[in-house]
Amino acid sequence: MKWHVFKFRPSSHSEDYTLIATYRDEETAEKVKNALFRMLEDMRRNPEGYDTDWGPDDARVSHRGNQVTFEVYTAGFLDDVEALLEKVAKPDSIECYQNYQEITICVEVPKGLSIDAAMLVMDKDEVEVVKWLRKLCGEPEVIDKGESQIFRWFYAGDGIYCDGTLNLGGFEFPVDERRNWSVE
Amino acid sequence: MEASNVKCKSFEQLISEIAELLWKELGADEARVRRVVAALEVDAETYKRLLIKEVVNGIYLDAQFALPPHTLYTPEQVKEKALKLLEKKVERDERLYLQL
Repeated sequence: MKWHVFKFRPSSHSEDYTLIATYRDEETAEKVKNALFRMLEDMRRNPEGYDTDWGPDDARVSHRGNQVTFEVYTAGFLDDVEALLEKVAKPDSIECYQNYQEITICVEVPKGLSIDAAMLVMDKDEVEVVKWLRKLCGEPEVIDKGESQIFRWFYAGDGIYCDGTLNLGGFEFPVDERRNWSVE
Repeated sequence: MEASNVKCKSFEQLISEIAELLWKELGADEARVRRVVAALEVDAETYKRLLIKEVVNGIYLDAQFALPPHTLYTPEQVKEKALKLLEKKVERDERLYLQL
């Protein structure tokens, strides 16, 4: 039998981690959510049974539709949770995010320009951001604003926005210094 | 539970030996595994693989320090620790799932 070396997450510093597991239906998601609550209760009663750097009161569990969300501040000690998400019901997917964000990023451009044409009139930093956003989020929604228009992207994933600056794979873009850009 | 005394040549080999050891340990008590799996949606093989993945993640750092030039642990000590951790994980699952 061939065994592969496994992934290993715990690191020297902690982050806000968010696990989002998607199941076949809402009933299954609710069953998994209840199992997570049961595990948190078990952590209270049997703390020696878990090797985590967080306690049951630090974690947040919720479910919406067929998705279950687990959030906690940790250096990556999530094995107990991930194992439960996979055992109690078969997930369609499990996504893991650090400093999870759901944000809307907007840029205002002259009316009538396509996104490709708009990139021709933007400066090179703006072009870099638009390239990243198209790669991360796909094509933007176009909103008519009278004499101008807005390209809007919805982003959900690892944290990319902090203190008025977008950080896209090491490239920093100070949104708060740009009159035509905004993040909500 | 007795750990193997096989001499390890590399980190990957040590991890592989530990995984094999855990697999055998779980195989020696199939009835216990089957009781837990009955309450879950995974089959016994998947369940065992998930458990082994958890345990290996738990001893990963120790395994790195059990090979030259490090001497913090011996491979045998890491294997013993892995077996103890496996027992702890199975006990956790019995608490969590046998009451479903």
